[in-house]
Amino acid sequence: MRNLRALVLKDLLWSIRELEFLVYLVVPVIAAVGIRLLAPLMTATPTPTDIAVAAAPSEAVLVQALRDAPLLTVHAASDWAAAQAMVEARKVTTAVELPAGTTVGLGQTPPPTVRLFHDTRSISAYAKARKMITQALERVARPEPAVAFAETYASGASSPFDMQAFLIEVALSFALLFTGVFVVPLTLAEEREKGHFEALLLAGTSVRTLLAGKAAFGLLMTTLVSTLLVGLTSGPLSVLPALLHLLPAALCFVGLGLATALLVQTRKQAELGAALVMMVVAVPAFGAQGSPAMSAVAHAFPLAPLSEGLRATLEGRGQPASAWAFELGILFGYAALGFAVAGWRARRLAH
Amino acid sequence: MSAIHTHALTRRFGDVQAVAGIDMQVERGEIFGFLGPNGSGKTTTIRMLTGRLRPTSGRIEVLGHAIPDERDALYPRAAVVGESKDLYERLTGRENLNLFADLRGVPRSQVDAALQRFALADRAHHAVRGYSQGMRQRLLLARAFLSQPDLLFLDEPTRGLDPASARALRAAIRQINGQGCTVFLTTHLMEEAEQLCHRVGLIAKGRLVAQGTPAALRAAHGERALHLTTAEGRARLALDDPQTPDRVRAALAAGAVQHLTVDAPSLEDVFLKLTGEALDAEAPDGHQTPDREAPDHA
Repeated sequence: MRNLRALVLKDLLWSIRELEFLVYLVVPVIAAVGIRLLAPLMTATPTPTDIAVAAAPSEAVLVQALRDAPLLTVHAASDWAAAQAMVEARKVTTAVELPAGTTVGLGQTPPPTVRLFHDTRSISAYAKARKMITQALERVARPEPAVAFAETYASGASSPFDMQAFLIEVALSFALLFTGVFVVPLTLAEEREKGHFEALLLAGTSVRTLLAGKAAFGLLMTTLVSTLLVGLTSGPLSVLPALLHLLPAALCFVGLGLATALLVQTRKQAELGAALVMMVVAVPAFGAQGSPAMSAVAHAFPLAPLSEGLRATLEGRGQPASAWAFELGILFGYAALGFAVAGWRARRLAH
Repeated sequence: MSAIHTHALTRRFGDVQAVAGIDMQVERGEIFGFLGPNGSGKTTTIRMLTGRLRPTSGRIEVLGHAIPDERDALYPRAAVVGESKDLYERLTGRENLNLFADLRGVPRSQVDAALQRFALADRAHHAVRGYSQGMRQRLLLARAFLSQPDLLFLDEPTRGLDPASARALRAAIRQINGQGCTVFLTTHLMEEAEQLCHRVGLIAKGRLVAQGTPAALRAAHGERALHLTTAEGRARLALDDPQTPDRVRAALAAGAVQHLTVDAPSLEDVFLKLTGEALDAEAPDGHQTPDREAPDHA
């Protein structure tokens, strides 16, 4: 335990004295203060996009799902012709028909059974509406959120877009990725390159303790930054629920980061490896889906649902962690794989 | 029981024989110098002795422990001073020592004593990146000596130091040895070995060509000579040449002698005679052994 504490303290001192890592600590705090100050202005900025939906009564859930999509105002239409007429009259930009029984998979852009009719004079609005419809349909594909949306519809409550929660989520995601995928592997790669790793082993430190120290450092940094960000913006009561969403992902990134650092030889190579890992895991985390490749990555790294869960938590409508058991399980699997590869490689290097 | 004992120690890197069948014995309490030119296999040997590199063949016993299998038992009793770049540059001198004190289970009070002892107390709270090369080497020694090891490995300890810093470092090494610590140091500096070491081993192209006290090696392999300086120039006369006495006598009778000295052979001369190469020579191409090659690449 004393060894672990010494190693974590060393990494903390080392990190905060290097400019790029200092920036990593300072930027979230500045971001938190900025969000706090600007949030009231930002929440007033959404620009609604009108959309007419023609659907059979059984598609009420879908209608509500669309209504839940941020920046989207949904107008119900009695049938497809009426919806088209609303577009022609420029009351809405897009008409969409959602036949009964429509189900879509993650990452699919509107399935062929969905009809879209848009105002060609408003291409950007159409693109935005199309993306939102896609995202809304993905939500509907998940039973629990669909039920939640239906309940919201029944009660008549609105669900305004929370820009502050969105910005905190983005800042946290960056902080999380930066810690696990960059800071941890780069410090380790530099230690290997300069001979610190060998000096620590010669001082009698075991490989297991060295890796545990790095993991503890990564998780501590994540906790520190997340606590600062969430605490300063959403209040102290939101910190713990947010951490429950963040730490499994952090553990996954730290495990992958350690494996990356030990599979390469130099810090430069570690930077390249970390950048590749970050690209792979970050894109689906921010919902950039659409192509089959991205869809596959989104399935492999199910960060988007967790990201949504984090935002829901920050908006005060959090769900129990059990709702994300599948995604958490996958992330813990990656963490275990990362630590296993790192342990195997470190033992090889030590011997 | 000897501090270090190796038998037929061999290490190959692919086609390159870095260390070839070294039989060596280092007694407890002595300073043993491992003398050879750059790339001769010194660092590879020290890495095998400390268990960081597995030998291709041969046996190693250090402080009674079979290495590398029992290296974990060795580490609390031994310390290694390698290159100064393995110091944490962004940490202060004190923080560097605190880290290793904690890892070795040494009380923090020893850190203050080490800083005083190696004349680093004044700069203890400065980041190591601002230290001179001499201070870095002293800090490495302080770090290594924190746990009062029985055996200290020093890999080229005065490399890159100015003469004054090198002298101070040698004094520190003697002081450490005076407290009963066995010192195994590698160097390519003949003077350093002569000044510091009780015994030396001469290594060339991975082979140990001789070992013993500097005096014994000089006596066994060196050639003593007279340097005779006259108005006509300087002449080197071998002492065991039967014509030398007559030539000196003749020069003295003629009153031509300006300067006459007995030239004792140096370890450099011994090394040159035994290996045919100078100590400051680089290893030929293909024989340079990597300092920090990844062990699993071998």
